[in-house]
Amino acid sequence: MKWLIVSFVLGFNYFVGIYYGIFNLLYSILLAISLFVILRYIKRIKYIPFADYRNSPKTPPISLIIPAFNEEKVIIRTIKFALAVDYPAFEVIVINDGSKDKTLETIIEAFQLGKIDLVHRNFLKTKPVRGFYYNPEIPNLLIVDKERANKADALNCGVNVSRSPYFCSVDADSLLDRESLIRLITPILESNVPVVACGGVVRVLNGVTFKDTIIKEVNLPKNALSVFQVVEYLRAFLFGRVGWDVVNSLLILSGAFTLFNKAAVLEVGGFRPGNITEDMEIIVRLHKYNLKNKKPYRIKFVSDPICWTEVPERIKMLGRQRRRWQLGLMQTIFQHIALLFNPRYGKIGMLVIPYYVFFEMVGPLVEILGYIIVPLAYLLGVLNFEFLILFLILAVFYGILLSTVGIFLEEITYRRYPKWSNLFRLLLYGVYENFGYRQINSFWRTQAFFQYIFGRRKWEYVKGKGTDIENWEKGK
Amino acid sequence: MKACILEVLSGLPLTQVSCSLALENLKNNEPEVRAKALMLLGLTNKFSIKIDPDLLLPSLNDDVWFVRLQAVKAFGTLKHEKAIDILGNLLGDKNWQVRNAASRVLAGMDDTSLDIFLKILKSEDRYARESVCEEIERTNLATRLIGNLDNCDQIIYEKSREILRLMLHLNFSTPLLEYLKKEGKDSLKEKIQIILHEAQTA
Repeated sequence: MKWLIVSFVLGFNYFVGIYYGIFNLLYSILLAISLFVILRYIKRIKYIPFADYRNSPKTPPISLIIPAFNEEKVIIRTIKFALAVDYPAFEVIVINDGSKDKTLETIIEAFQLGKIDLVHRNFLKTKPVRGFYYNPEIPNLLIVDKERANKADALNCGVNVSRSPYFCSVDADSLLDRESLIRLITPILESNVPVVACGGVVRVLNGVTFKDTIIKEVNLPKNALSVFQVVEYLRAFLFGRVGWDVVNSLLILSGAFTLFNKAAVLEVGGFRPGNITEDMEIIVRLHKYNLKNKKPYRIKFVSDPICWTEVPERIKMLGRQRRRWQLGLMQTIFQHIALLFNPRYGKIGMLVIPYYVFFEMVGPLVEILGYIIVPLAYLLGVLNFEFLILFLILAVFYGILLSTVGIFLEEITYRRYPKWSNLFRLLLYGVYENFGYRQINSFWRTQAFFQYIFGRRKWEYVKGKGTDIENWEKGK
Repeated sequence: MKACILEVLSGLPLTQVSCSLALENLKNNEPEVRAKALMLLGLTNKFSIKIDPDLLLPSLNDDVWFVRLQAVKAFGTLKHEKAIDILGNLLGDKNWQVRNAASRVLAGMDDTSLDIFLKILKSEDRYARESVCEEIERTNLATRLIGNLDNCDQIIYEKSREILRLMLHLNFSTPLLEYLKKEGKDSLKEKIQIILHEAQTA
């Protein structure tokens, strides 16, 4: 029996070593690619004729679709920022998804809207629409009031109402940078291959000061939990997504700020209402549909159009958010498990889905088990000191390197946090996050892993982001 | 290059020379140049420069949507009666921006444009009829039509009433129902009640 336990512990240790070796190798490749791509993009950006695109009548109109549920505290600010976007032709469509608070009344009062009739064609089946609200003085703002369902249903409703060939999903607590849309459409205008979706960077709003619709000062938030998330977002957006974008293998674009080709979304049947992370699911489905039908396509990520979003400042809410993300990831993976190692779907089936299954989905579980079993093995004398150190280097210090490089990328490129004090704080938190924050994240994700396996797939509330708001509630 | 020049000229105070240049380019092969020329010519009223608006009429039927859009916008300031019929046709344009702009321009033309709305609402094309109803509501023309129910000019009254009745027939009833809910003239409310009653009994 003892022999069996020792063999298991030893075997697991070797597995962890190899697992982290491969994982870190993949990340190193992504890192190298991103570094090269971002630096090249920064050089190129000076020559991109944004002003020409802005003035060209050929630049396609865009519908900004903002689903809102119980967002009375933040929705006016979001709409004002959306209306202030510098883009030749766009409309803002807010979908009130049966809010129980005064979201609808607040918007009607703030923008002096009146009820109107519109021809509503249910291309994508959604819950019934209760009314449309409009002010002829603000012709590019339309509010749709519908019966309660969920975010995907609200987005589908927005797609039905939208009149533009492209639409951009925006979260109700997210603020768009003035130039964000023109920068987001640029890859679409410049690509020879149809771009079906294009995502931009989501940054942390906490700590940012703004007046009316202008960002005045970008500072790091005072709340430590938020600073950890700043580091995390920099890492995820500046090299994770850029790296995958190069090989047209992006599986996640943030629903807070992604531009979609409407025809492509309609072709795949719109957003899937039962899905927790409908933003990831639709991207997987777009890949699947286009690969299956052998249609040329691109799913792009651009590293400079910015959308600012609030992040949870309380640990309880952050935990809920992270569990939700993990549940959504697993739900999407299992819905599309047929893609796994399926050569018909090229690199998506052979590389990206396996990566998400073995590293993103199972990774937190391996990490948590590693933290328990590896030191235990050392204490039991099964493992030598060198291996323990190797594990720590692979699991912890490599994390520090990744965070530091993420911050470094930000500093040499966009430098949104211009103060030196901010840079030092970011670097410090890049180190700190590997001693506690990262482990607790893995713990939440492991919790969600087992919740999914044992069928407790409930959607959790995320209350009290920066402004104490209550976000999407989804049943079952 | 020509498009750039015309765009720069649009930003400067207009002169006869710049207008002549724009007129010369109305038939340019490049749609972008045509659109910029129309954008410039749309500003002539602001600078009290006289041009012959008939020269702009063919642009309303241009193959390219953004040229049509600029032409519509130009007629928004030129307010040329000969354009009303073509603008009416554009209410059923396949591009929503053109439709929207055309309805705005027509709605801004006092009651001279009521005939064109009536004509489309009586047409066989359901898509065009619904589009027109939508635009009548979006441009707030519906409120003016309701106000016209009290107009002493019998012709305007009849036309406005007929448009509202036809809209109601297509389920575009919100402006009438909303008027009944808010504070307003009792005489208008009575007339609205009659229209609603007629629709129910029809």
